Amino acid sequence: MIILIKSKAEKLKLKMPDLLTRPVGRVMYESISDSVADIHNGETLVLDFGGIKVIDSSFIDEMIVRLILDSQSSERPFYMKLKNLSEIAELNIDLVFRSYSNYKNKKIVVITENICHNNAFFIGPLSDQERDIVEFLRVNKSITLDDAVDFAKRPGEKVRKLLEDLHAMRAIKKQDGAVFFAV
Amino acid sequence: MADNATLIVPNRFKDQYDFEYVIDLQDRVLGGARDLDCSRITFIEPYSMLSLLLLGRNYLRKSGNKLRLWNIPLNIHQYLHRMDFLKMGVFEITGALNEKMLLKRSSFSNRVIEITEIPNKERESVKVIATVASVFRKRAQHILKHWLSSDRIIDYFVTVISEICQNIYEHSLDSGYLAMQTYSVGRQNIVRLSIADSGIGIVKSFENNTVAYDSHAHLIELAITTPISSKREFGYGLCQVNSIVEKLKGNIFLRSGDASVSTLYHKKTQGSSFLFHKNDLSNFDGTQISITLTG
Repeated sequence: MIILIKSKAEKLKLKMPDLLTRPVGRVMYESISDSVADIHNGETLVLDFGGIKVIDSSFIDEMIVRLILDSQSSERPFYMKLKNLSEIAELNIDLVFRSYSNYKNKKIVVITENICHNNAFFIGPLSDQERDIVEFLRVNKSITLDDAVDFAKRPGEKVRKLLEDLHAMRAIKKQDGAVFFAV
Repeated sequence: MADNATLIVPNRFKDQYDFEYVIDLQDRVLGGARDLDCSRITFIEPYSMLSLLLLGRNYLRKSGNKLRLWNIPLNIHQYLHRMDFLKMGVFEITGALNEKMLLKRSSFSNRVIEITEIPNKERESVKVIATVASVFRKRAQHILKHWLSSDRIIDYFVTVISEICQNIYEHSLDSGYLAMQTYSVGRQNIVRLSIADSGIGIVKSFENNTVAYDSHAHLIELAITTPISSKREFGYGLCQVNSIVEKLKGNIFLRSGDASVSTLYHKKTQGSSFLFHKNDLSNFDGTQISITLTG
C-alpha cells in the first residue's frame, strides 16, 4: 500500500509544504489509520513524503511513531517504509527515534526507500551488527538463518536473536520462521 | 522634567545581555512608574522589543492601566510601528506618527517577521504557527540572505520556529510573541529570531518533575541539551533546536525567571567552553528565547 502524504494533506486541508505540531500529526495518523485498516498481514505500507519539507518532532511523535507501534502488533503485523524524505525530516525523525529508544529502552527504526544521510537505508539507532544484517538483506532480498550466520560469522543462536529482534522492530520481514526478506 | 511617575529608559536595547539593565528597573516600573521616557533609545532589536512588550503587558495586567511611552525618537517610533509593536494594545503612545513618516512595507518588509502573538490555546496556536512558517518561507531569501548557502537552512528555521512556539501553549500557560529580523551592526550581519512569553517559566514547569538540578540555570541547560519534558516522559523540542543551532554555528540565549543560559556555538573551538550560566538575575516572568546567527 502506498500513501502519498502530500495528497493526504491536501484532502485534509493541511497547510503545506510543512507538517507541524501534534494536532496535525494526530489528524494525519487518524486518516492513515483508516486506510491501513485494509492492509494485509505482512504487507508493506509505503509513506511517500514527496513535496513535504519539514515534519517536526511533534508531528513525527503523533504520526510516524504511532504507526510504527501499530505495525508491531501481533494481531495484524505490517511493515513500513518511508520515501522521498527531506534532509530535515530525516534529521528530526532520527532525533525522535533516538530519544524514544533511550527513554523507553525499546529501539524503534524505520526502513527508507532512498539512501539517508547516515549512508544507510533506515533511520534509527541500530547497532553495527544490526545495520550489517539490514544492508545484507537489502542487497540479497531474502536470506535464511544459515546465510546470515555465514555472513555475520557469529554463533547461530546470537544471529537468530538478532534477526528476531530486527523482525520485532519491523526492520526485516520473516516468512515461515525460516526465511527473512528485506522490507 | 521627569517626575517620580516617569522613568527615563536607558539606551539598553541592543541585545539580550544589554536588556538586563532594563529588567533591573522592572520593580520601579511595576511599583508605580506610569510613563517611560524613551528619548535615550537609539536602537532596539527583536529580543529587547518583545521583552519590553512583556514588561508593558505585565504592568497592564497588574495595574489595569497602560504604560505610557513618550519622547520616542522618530526612527524608533517608525520601527516599532513597522513591527506592529503598537498594534498589540499594551502601551499608550503620546505623539502619533504622521502618515507620511511611517515606514512603507516595501523591501524592508522582506527582512522581518512582524510581532506575532502565539496564543496559549492549542487549536489557535497551530494555525498561527503554520502562518508564521509560511510568511518566513516567503521572506527567507531576504531574512537569511547572508547565510543562504542551501535551502536546508530555511527548513532548519521552520523547525526551530515550530518547536519553540509549541512550548508556549504546551508549557507556559500563557500566550507569547514572536519576531524575527535581519540587520547590520557595523560590518556584522545579524539575524535574530526571538520568541518570548510571560508564563510560568521553566522552573515552575518542572516543579512536579523528578529532574535533578543544581541551579535554575542548570535546569535551563538540561532543558536545552537533553530530551527532558515537564509534561511527557521525554521531550524533543528544545533539544532539537539546540542541535540545529549548533549545526548553524549560532547562539541560543534562553532566559527564564531569574536565570539564563547562553550557548555560543559560533565561538566554540574544539574543547573550549561554549555554554554559560547566569543565576540570581532580576526575576522576569516567563521564558524568553533568542536565536542569533552572525556573519
